[in-house]
Amino acid sequence: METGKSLAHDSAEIQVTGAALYTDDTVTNAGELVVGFVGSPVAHGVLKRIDLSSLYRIPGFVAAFTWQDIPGVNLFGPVIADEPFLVKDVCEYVGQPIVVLAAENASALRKARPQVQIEVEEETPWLTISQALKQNSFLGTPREIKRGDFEGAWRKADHQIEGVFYSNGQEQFYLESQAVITHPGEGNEILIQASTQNPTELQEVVAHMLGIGFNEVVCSCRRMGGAFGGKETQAALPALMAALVTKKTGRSARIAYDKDTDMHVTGKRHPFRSEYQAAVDKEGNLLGLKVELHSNGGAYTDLSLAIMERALLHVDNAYFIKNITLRGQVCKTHLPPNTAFRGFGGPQGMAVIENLMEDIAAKLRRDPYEIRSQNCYGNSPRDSTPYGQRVESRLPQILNQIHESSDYKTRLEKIGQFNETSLTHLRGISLTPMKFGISFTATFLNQANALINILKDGSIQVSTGGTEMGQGLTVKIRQIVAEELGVPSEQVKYMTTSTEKNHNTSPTAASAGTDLNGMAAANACQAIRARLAEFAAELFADTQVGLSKSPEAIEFSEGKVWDRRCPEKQVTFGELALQAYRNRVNLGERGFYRTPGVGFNQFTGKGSPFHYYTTGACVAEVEIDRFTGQWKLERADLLLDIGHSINPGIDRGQIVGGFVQGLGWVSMEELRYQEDGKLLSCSPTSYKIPNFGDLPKDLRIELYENPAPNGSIRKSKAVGEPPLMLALAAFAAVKQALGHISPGKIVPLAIPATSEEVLRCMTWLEDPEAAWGLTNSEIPLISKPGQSHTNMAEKVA
Amino acid sequence: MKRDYIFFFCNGQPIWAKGLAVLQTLSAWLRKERQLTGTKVVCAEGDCGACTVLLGYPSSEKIKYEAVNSCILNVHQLDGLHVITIEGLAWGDRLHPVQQAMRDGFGSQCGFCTPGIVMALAANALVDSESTRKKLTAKEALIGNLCRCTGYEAIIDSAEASKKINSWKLADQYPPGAIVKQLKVETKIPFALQEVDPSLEQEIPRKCWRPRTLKDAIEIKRKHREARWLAGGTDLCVQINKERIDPKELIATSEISELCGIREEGNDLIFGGNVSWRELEEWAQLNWPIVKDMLDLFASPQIRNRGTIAGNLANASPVADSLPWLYVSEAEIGTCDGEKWRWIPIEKFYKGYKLLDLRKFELIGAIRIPKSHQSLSQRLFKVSKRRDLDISTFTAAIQWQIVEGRFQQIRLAYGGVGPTVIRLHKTEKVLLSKPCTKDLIEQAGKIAAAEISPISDVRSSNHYRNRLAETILKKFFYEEISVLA
Repeated sequence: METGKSLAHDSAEIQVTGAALYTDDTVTNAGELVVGFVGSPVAHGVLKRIDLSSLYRIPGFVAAFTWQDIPGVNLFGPVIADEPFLVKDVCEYVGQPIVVLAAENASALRKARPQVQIEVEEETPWLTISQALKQNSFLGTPREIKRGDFEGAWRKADHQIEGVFYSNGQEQFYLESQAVITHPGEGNEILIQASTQNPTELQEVVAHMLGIGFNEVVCSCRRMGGAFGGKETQAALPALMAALVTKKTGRSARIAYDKDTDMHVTGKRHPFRSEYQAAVDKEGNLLGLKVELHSNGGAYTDLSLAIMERALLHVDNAYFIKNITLRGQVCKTHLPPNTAFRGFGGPQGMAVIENLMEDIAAKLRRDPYEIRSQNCYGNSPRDSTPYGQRVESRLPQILNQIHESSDYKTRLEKIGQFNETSLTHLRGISLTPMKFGISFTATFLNQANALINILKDGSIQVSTGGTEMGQGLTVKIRQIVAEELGVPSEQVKYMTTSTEKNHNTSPTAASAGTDLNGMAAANACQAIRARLAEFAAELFADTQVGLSKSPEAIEFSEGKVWDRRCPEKQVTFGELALQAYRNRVNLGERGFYRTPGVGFNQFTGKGSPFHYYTTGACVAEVEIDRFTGQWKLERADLLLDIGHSINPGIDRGQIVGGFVQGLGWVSMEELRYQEDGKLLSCSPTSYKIPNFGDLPKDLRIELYENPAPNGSIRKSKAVGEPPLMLALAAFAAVKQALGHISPGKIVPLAIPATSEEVLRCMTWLEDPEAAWGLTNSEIPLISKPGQSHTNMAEKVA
Repeated sequence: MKRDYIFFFCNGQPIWAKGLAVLQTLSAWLRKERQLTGTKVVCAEGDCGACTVLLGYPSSEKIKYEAVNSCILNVHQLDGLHVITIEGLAWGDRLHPVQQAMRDGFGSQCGFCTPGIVMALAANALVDSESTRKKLTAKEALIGNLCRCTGYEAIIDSAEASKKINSWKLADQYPPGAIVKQLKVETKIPFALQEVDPSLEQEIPRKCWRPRTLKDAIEIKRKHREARWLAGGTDLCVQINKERIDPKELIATSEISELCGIREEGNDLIFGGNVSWRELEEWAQLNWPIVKDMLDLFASPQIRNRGTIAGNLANASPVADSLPWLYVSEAEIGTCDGEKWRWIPIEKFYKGYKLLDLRKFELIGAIRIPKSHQSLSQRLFKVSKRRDLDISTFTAAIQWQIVEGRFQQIRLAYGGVGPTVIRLHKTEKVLLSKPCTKDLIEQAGKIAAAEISPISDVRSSNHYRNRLAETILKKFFYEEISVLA
C-alpha cells in the first residue's frame, strides 16, 4: 500500500539544499523588466491628478501605466467584480495601486517610485466595524440561518447571557511574498508564472483585463512559499500588473513584493464583531442562541461573503442548539479587501460559541467541560445543525476520550489549588471541541480534473489543478496514483500545475485539495488501469495451459503486473507500458470528479453544504503572569479524527502547523492601524507570529481511531484547516484562568489575548477603577504621532 | 596606499569584488549575481532568518563560523572572510546531517524558511566543546528564524535527530589553511571605495572605507562629514533596505582595533564599542551571569553575532534591551574624536528621542561600568508580545541590595515609557533605606507611574505601559524580595 506511508515531502531534498525554485528564484530572462507600483497615499480620497512627467529623466526607467492604459476591463473579483485593478476615481485603502511602473533594474524602480506625483483629495476613512455601521456601509446583503423560536427561548430562559465578542484579523504571513513573472508569447498569448493557489483565476482576470480570450493565457505554478489562503485571490493584483507591462512592452516582467508592501496592501483574516444573546436553563443547557455577526470586509467584496457564510455555518461548532437565529453582514471599510485565511470564517464563528461556553460556565459556576459536553451534538434528534445537515460524527466519544487521556479532571483540581496559593501566576485549563465542514460552500467549486500520462519507460506524470504550498498535496497525490496503478510512489512525478493541462480548476483551498484532485486522479488511473488490464489479459492469456483472457485477474503491484492465476509470469509496469504503446493502447487519461450530495441554498440558509466534517478536540493549559499579563501554553493535548491518513507524517505537520497558527491568532498576532488607515504592524519586527520559543513544552497529538470514517479519498479526511481551530482551547483556558480572580463574573476577553489584553482584563476584574477602556473595537487604532495620547478610536460604550 | 577591491571566499571559491557591487547586501549579491537563490529574503530586517548564511572569521590557522543574516550585511563587510551558503553546505552528493534529518523528519513544508533554518542549525552544530561558546539548544539556536508552516515541532525533532548522524568536519570540506593564507595576503592593506553611481541623477560618487585605526577613522570622518558610521550593520542596513536612508558615504568601524575587546581598568570594566553581543554574552557567562540571562532575551543568535555595543547605543531606541541595565549599572559612554576621550554618564548621554551627546567627529568607543555593580543584585524585566526576538513594549532594570531588611543601592530604570530610557529617581528615593514591604512597593508603584510619560504605538497602549510601571514593581517584590522573607 502506498497510501498510509509517511513518505517525505515531495520537495524535501531540494528544499534542504536550497535547490527548490520559487517564482522569484527563476533565472532572469534577457530584457526582463522589474515591476512595481505606486499606491494611494490615503485610505479614502478622490484621485485628482497623476503626474508622471519627471519619471522619464531617470536612467533605467522604462514605462508607467495608469487605468487609462488598460486594454480590457479594469474591474475584477472572484465573486463580484467590484475591485478596480488601478484606481480611476476613488482610492479606498492605503497603498491601493494607482500607477504601475516598469524599469530595467531594481534601483531604477526605487528611484522612480518617489517621482510619481499623485494628488488625492482626502476624505474621512472608516476602518472599524463600528465606524462602518455608523456609515451604513456594507458589502453584499445580510445572510441568515434560522431554526426554531429564539425569542420564545430567550423569554423563558433561567439565565440570559449577552455580550459582544471581538476578534481581530490575522496576517497570513506566508514567507514568500506575492510574486509573478509574465512572458510574452506569439500574438496575444501571455504566459504567467505565479505564486498562486488559483492559476485558473489568474488566467481569467488577466484575460479580462487585456481583453483577450481565456485561451490566450496560460498560468502555471510550481510551488509556493506558503499561502494559507493569502494567495487564493490576492495574487491577482501583482499578476495584472506584470501582465499589463508585458502586454505593453512585449518584454518579460517580474514583480515580487517585499514583505512590508505585501503586509500593507494585501487582505488578511477578517476581524469580526459578534453580538450574542444566549438563553440557558438552570442545568446549563443552551436552549436558544442569537448572534449578529459583522465582519470587516475591507474595501471590496473579494471572498468576504463566502467567508461570512462559513462563519455562520460554524457558530454552532459542536453543539446542538434547538432555537437559533444567526445573522451575518459584511462591512465595507477602507482597509485592503480582507480575504481567505486558513479556516475561512470558521475560526471566527466558532470563537463566538466557545467564548460563550466559558461565559455560561462562569455564570453557573460550573466546570466548562460539563457545559460543553451536555450541549454536544449526539444522536437524533440532537444531530441536526441549524442549516439542516445531519452531523454524523463521534464528537461525544472524542470529548470523552480526550477528557480521560488528558487527565483533565485531576488537572482542573490542581489548578484550582494553585490559583488559591500562587501570588504571582494564574493557571487555567480548557477543553474545546472542533467540527469543521469540508467542501466549498459554493457548490460549483466542488469539482476537479486530473491528467495522467504514462510514458514508455513506465514512469508516470500526474497533473491536477492542485497547487503545492507546503501542505504536501503533491506527495499525497503521487501516493494515490501509485496505489491505483500498483507502482512505487517514486515512479510517479507531480508536474507543475498549469492551466494548459488542467482547466477550469478551483482554487487549492477549503482543505479539499487532496479530496478533489486525488479523486480526479484516481478516476483517471482507474480508466487507464482498466485498459491496461484488458491489454495485459490478452498478453498473459495462454490457451495452451487453459488461461483464458481475464482482465479481472490482472494484478498491478509494486511495479509488476501479472495474472493472478499464473503469478510466475510477470512483466514490469514499464515493459507493459511499452508494449501497450506499441499496440496503440491509450496511455493517457483525464479524470474528473464532483463531490456527490452537496448543496446549500444561501437564501433559505438550508441544505447540506458539506461532504463530511473533520472533528477533534483540544485540551490546553496556560499560565499567566499576574503582573504583566504575559502567558504561555504549558501543555496541549490534541485529538483529531482524520480518517485513514494518506500520509501520517505530512498530516502531523498540518496538525501542529495549523494549531500553532491558531495559537498566534488568539495570542500574539495583533494588527494595529493608525487612525488614518495605515497599517503599523507591517513587518515581523512589529507583527509577531509564534516562533520556536512558543511551542508548548508538552504537546501531545493523537489520532482518533474511527472504525468507519466517512471521509473522502481512501477514507481519509481533510486536515488543512481544522487544527487551527483547536487553538481556541488556549484562548478558553486564558478566560478560565482569569475567571479565578472574581468567580461568577464574566471575563470580557477578546481575540487576540495579548499580554496587554490579559492585563487589561485582570485589572478590570480586580479593580475596575484602575482599568482602562474595555475593548470596543475589533482593531486598535493608534493616533498619528504628535497627536493625542489616547489609543482607542472608540471608547467604552 | 589603498586597496580598491575586497577579497573573500564564497563556498570555497575566491572572490574579488569591486565597485558598487560591494555596497549591496550579501543576499542580493548571492541571488542576483551568483544565482545562489537558495538564500531567501523575506523581511530584509533580520527578523525572520530566511537569509541565514555562515560567516567564517579566520583566527590563526582556523576559521570560526557563525550564523549571520545576509540581508543586513553589505558585501564589503565580507572582506577577509569566508561565507558559506546553503548551496555550499552539502559536500557533493552528501547531505549535511541537518539537511538529512530535516528531509527525513518532515522539517520542511513550503520550504521557504528551510535554507535559513538549516544554516542556523549547522552553525550551532559547529560549536565544539573547547570553544568558549556554549552549544545552544535547537530552540535557542533557532530563535532568529521564523517558520509559518510546521509549527516548529518537526524542525526541533529533526535537529535532535541530526546529532546522531555522523558527519565530516567542515575543515575537511573547506581546508582552512589555504583559505586563511590567501585571505591574509589579499587583504593586507585597508580597503576604500569611490565609485560614481549611474542610478543617481547627479554624479555623486558613493564612498566606503574600512579603516583599521581610530586615527584613520576620525581623519576620514573629518573630511567627509556626511559619512555614516557602520558597525555590525544590523540596524543601518535595515534602514537602507527599507528606503529610510540612502547614505552615500560609509565608514565601517569593525576593523578598528582600539574598539575591540573587554578589559578591566582599575575599578572599572571597559567594553569596546566593537564588542558584539555574542562576545559580551560569552564574557558574561563567566563573569556576570545576570547579564547573560538578559542577553538570552536579546535579539537572535544571528543578530548577536553581528550587532555591537556601540551600534546599539547609537541606535538609541528607548526600548533597546541593554539600556535599562546600563542605566542602573551607572555606565559611562566613552566617546572619542581620535585624540581625546570623553566619559559621559549614560543618563546625560541621551538627551532626547534619538538625541545623543555625540559631537560631529566623535564615535562611540566604549562603555565603562564600575565593577562594584557586579556584586549587587539586579533583575531585568522585558515585556513584549512574544517572549523571544521581539522589540520590547516595556523594559525595566532594578538593582538593589538588602541590608537589615531595608533597600539599599536601589536603582530603577524603565524603557519604553518615554523618549529615552529613564532612571526613576523619585521612586528610588521612596524605596531607599525603607523596610521592604508590600505597602512600600505599592506606594513606589504610584510614584513610578507618575514619573513616566508613555505613548500608544504599534506595540501597546500608553495605559498598558502605565500599569506595567506599577505592576512590574510588584512582580519584583513577589519574585525577588518576599520569597526571601
